[in-house]
Amino acid sequence: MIRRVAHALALLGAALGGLGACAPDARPADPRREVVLWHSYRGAERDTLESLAAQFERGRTDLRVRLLPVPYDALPDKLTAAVPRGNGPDLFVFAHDRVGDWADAELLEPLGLRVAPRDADRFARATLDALSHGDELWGLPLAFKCLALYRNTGLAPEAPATTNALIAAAGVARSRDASVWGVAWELDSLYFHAPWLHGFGGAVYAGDADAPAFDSPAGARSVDFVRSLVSARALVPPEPTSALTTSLFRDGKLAFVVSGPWFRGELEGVSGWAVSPLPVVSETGRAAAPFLGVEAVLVSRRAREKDAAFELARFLTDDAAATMRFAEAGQLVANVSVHATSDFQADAFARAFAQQVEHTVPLSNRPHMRRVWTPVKDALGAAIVRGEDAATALGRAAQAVRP
Amino acid sequence: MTRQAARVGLIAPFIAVLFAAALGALALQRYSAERHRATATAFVTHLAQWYAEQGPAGSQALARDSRVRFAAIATRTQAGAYPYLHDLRFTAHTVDARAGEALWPILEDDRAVALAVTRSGVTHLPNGAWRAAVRAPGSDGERSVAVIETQPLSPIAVPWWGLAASCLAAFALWLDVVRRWPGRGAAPLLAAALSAGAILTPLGMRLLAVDATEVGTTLGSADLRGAALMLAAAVAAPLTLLGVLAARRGSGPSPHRWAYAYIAPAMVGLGVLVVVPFIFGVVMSFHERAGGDWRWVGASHYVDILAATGRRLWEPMSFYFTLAVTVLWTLVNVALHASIGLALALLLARPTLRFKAVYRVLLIVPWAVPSYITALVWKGMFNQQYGLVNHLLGVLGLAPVSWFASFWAAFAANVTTNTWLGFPFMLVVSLGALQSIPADLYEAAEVDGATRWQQFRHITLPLLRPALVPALLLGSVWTFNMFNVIYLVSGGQPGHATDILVTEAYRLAFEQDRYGYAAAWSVLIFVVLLAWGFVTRRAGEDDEPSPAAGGGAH
Repeated sequence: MIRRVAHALALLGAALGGLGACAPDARPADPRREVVLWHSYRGAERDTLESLAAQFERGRTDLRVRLLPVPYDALPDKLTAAVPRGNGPDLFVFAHDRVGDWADAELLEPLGLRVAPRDADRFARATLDALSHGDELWGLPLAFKCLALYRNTGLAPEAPATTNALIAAAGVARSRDASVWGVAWELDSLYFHAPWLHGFGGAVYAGDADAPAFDSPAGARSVDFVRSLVSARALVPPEPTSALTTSLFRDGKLAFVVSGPWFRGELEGVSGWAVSPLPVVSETGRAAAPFLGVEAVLVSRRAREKDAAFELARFLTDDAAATMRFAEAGQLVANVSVHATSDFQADAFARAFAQQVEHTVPLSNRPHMRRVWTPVKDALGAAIVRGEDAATALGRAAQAVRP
Repeated sequence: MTRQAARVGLIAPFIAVLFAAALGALALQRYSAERHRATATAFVTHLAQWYAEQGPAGSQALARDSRVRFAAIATRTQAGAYPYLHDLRFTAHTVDARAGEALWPILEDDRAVALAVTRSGVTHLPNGAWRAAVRAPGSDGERSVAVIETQPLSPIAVPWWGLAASCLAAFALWLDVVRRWPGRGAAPLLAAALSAGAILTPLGMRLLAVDATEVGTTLGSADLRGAALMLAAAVAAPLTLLGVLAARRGSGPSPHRWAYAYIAPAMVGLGVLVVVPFIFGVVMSFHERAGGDWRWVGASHYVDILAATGRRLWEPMSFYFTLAVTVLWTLVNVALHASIGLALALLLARPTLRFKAVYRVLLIVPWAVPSYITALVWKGMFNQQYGLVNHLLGVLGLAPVSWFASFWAAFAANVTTNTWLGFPFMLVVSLGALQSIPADLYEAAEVDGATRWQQFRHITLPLLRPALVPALLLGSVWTFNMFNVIYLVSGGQPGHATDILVTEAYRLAFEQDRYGYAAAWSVLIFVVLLAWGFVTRRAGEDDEPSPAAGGGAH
């Protein structure tokens, strides 16, 4: 018996050896070539993508599109594992902040030669800039995300144009009812602090080098500004986590919230709120500029069907598809011509974010950026929440991330 | 010693040598692939640079070089107002060196090549050729790009198939020997399988056109020293196993030889899921990732961690501070879990108590709820403004506490949450053990006039020990690595002070992207737990009147 097992194993070994020589090319029986797209869309966004893919297939006898939903958190790991071995998708949808990383690791196909300037003109400039890395373009923008100012129209009827107006309106709401708070966001998060950092003239990086610049005097002033809202003016509720902010705002106990388009999902069934662009910083006259996040379609360097993949990418980002993505899935699309349509202009929510895009700073897509979040979070926590000197705290964070 | 044992004693070194040879071949392959890559990259870059400087004049010279398949020069200009969009125009190209005729597809199909070379750099093509693109500065934003593609430079095959065949054959051989058929019947077949694997491997690789330099470079373009380290670890593990096996077999005929075949799948699983990632982690701890590549940095991560480079020895995020917090966290928790669990068990064990089943179920509920849900609920309860805890303090007339602003408050919040999660286990263990203590011991003690405390001290505790000690040891290891509570309740606040070793390792790797450093940190955690394992193993063995009771300690 065991000899038979041994023989079977030996035969298996020989067969494995032989397999290498004669393994047939594993292609589907369908004569059409297949373009594989990975995405993490759900609900209406997924339905829209599916119908767009069906539209793309129509009229093409030689191509079919296969959509593979992959959980958002799992997608980067799957990509970095699959693409270098030639197993990944032809194209995929992801946020732009990993583009630098992936371009350096040769996961992405450069698009600088394929995209004509007149095609590029259809996107809001900042959304395209966000997808560049090392004088090369790496993707086409689908939609954007950034922070803006939500307000309870009962507590604050007017959108504040400046930070002084914001402070005044928040103060009025707070003085009328002590259980009402003025304004809230996640104080110790760099993502939420960025509007003020930029509004005071600061920046995360000094230039193309990975040298941090957020510990500049402007950075310290932005921290001092936020701290004054928290301690001296007592406008911000203690420990404003996103859960607390949401529940306060829903209960009408909070006049202003700094948050992104996703916050609308939390406000289902709540009326009496509006969105406007973030105010101009009164001290500097500059607009508070949040980070811009871009959801992009990216072509794999190891795509089997590169031309078809690019064709599909261009199809998904053209104006007709963008109109559909906005109308059916509510995406804040990157196409300026869609922003000009009457449907878009009639949507106050979308309009506010489209206005805000004009004053944003693309979140850096360089690999080093991922090291910045935690040290800056610690510094903001120390300076804003626990009252440490802003310059010292930021200096320590800069020291920690200096390459 | 039986004949069979002697035979196994002979065959074990053979198998070890086979393993070592296979792994050696792998390392050699990797080494030569690295060298091939380095040489080819230098060569093709050099040619491209030369061509970029020469301009079109160099085309003829390159056309005569038998190593060059084609070379071309293109001008790259910015397209429109976008610095990252461009046009590419080919201005010169070589001819096919062998056929002497104008090569192209290049000009008709220039976009395909242009796209491949639009970034400067060297690409290894699937057919074994190398392609380099070099940019030379030009006037007014115009830049010329020189493109060189070589003839295929013999790729080196990876003996994967051969390796698989060899391993299977070795395993079959081993089975054959155990079953006392040395070489008869199977041996020629095995030899055939081995040679088939060896011959077909390079052929298969060639036919499949697998990019030889990309297979097997698990760490990207890793360094030789890294490969050597991995090799040493990979050789050491099976050799040790085989040594143990041989020693066992040498000591006498085993009636359980089939057992090895039965456990083989589990061993393979363990190897793939535990040993390989572990070795990978150890290797990673000597590397650092820079721009998608892994760079060898020696022991510098360990030095940085142990010398607390960049921070004081005794402040949050230093290894020593975090270790101390972790030890304190473990001690406090285990002490609380055990004392609360035992106290409740003593109450529940009273024979006169009514509705015992109800209490028991209620007390086990915290254990039944997933720990992350419990942790999130407690985090909400510790909220300064709206949390239940501060609300209760207010009812008692006390000032609200900002729970996550100071170390001790945050630590206390973590400990409270984990105690809530941890005591039911101790309760269940103690209750079970209590019920197995014979009642007549207590009756005898009462007859002798022992007080309740004396009964507890001299009967209950000693008889609980065999059950309680393993539970404590197990609890200590769980608590040591209790990620959920720390990460979800305090989140390390204030300023990482309440982070324990595992949560810090997580932050280093996944929040700060310092994988190498985090790997070194994890290896140090492993060392700490290993030391703790040795200590507790002793304690477990001292306390082992019955095999069942000591089981948990190992």
